[in-house]
Amino acid sequence: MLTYEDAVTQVSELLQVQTGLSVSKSSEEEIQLSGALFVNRVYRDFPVRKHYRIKLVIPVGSEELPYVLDTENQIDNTYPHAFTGKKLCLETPTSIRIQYIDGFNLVSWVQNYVEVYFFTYEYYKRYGIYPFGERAHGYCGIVQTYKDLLHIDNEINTIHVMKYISTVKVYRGHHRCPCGSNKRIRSCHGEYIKPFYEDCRLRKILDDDLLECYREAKEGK
Amino acid sequence: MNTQERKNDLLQIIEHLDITPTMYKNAEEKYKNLAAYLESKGIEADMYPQGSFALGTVIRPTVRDPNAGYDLDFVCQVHAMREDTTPAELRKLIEDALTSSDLYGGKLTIHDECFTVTYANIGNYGFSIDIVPAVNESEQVKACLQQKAAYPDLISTSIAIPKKEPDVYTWLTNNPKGYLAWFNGINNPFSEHSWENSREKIFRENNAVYASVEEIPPALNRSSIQRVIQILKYHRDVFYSKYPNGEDIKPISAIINTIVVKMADGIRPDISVFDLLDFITTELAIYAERQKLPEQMFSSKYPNRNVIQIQDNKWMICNPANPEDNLADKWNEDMRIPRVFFRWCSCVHHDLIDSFKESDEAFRSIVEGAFGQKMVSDVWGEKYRPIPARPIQALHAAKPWG
Repeated sequence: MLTYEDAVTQVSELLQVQTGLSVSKSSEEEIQLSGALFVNRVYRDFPVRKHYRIKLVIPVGSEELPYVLDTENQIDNTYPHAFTGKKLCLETPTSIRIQYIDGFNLVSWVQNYVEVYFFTYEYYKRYGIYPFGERAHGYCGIVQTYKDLLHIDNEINTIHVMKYISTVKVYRGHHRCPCGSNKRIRSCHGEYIKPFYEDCRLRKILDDDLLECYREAKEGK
Repeated sequence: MNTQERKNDLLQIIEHLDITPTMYKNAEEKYKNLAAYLESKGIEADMYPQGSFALGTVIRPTVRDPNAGYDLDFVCQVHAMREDTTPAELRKLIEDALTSSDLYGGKLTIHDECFTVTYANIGNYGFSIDIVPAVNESEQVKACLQQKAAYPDLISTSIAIPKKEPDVYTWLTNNPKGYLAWFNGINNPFSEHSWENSREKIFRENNAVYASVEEIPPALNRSSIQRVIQILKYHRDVFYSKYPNGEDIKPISAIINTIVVKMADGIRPDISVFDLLDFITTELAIYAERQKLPEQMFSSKYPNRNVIQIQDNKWMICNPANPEDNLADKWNEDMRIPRVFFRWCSCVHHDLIDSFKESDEAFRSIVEGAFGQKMVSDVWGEKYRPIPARPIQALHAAKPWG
């Protein structure tokens, strides 16, 4: 959660590196930035150097993550990861929340999520493939995020591990690993499971996500 | 912005990848020595270049390895008919001769269908010679081919080469001399047009290699057709390197050669390289519609477009020198291949034609995407004001969701 003072400080740091953006609204609830975001990134010898007109909204005093609006329809509607509502589909909130569990950093978020989103879009438009992969829509994408974090080989086993973490309240290294390997946790996924027992904030994110997954599955999404 | 200057700068990149006169001289000497060696071992054969070395469309394959040498292909056609020997015997004849040599034995790699002799670097780069053993194709097969051929006169030079099947070697018909004759028939007027300027330039840049302009071999001349082929081949290598299975799905050079030459047939031979590239990529955009339009609709909307055909629901690009060879065979095994091919064609147009309208910085950026940052920096230095881009680390990079 960003306080208004934190948000103002981080915005001013961002404006030093993204000089095409400026503050278009500032209140106790949110700060909005508008203008041209310069993306200048390279991967596998393919550079993207381009300006994108965006509106960037930073909620203040709330758990809601910042988001980006494509104000001039630069993202093609046919792109499979264009928008959720009007917000660009940057990544799962799980990834972002865990990345910034010790404190949100606006400059880093813009570089790691917003710039990479536009880069991925250009790469996809050119080659028809995602350079870093993609997440499935809805809760399946959230499960995939945990699959990566927990280093599990498939989504079904990931759900088993998520349920285990959510229901068994104390870390038990000698238990059978919930991934289904038949090994003890400590000799299997212990290294990746343990942090969820050592940091209650991580556990809270997982519990909330699991509830959301149940809710979406129940609604048949 | 100066479009002509940009075109010249792009050509400079291609010239940088082309075989140098010194390397050409060396390669020629080496393959003639190889032919003389085989003769000394009692093998009566003609050794002649095929593929890019014969067609004048060589480029150094630098995408996977910036220091890669040139791969040059040759046919060793033994003076015999197909009926006189078996594919396995023919192969063994050449293999035994090469492996028994003190000179070539250590440089030799034996593959299923050819032998590779790798030479040490001359200057910055080395080169390797791939030798495909061959015999004259039987008269009976030639007669059958002539019946089906669009160019029957080309068939007489057909050869048979050993092809490895899982357990046995069989014969495969090929016709590199016929292909070269067809290629030259269309390319020669284009070549004549560029020859005077070309040889003056080669002489200016290589006066340590040649004493006079007359000494420059015409094989070093590059017509607009040959340059367009080189551009497309290099762009293809960079483009397809982004795909996990790029080597398997990229169009073979024979497809590029055939498409360019067929499309250039009948065009004014004084056309510039980039006007020809524009014409060809625009034509290819039309052919891309074959993916969606029913055949009848396509043919009536675009009459006389038969370089890339669909027959019986199958993609077809005919080898003009071998009517039984459909160069697009692979396209019919995996539908992604034509889809990515047409995507690539449209990127060529975007990168090397549309980019002339862009600002200097955007032009540089697009060309870096097309030919790779290192290649562009090596040739252009700081021209067009490159801005260093921040790399993305794949391991933790964001994946789009939602």
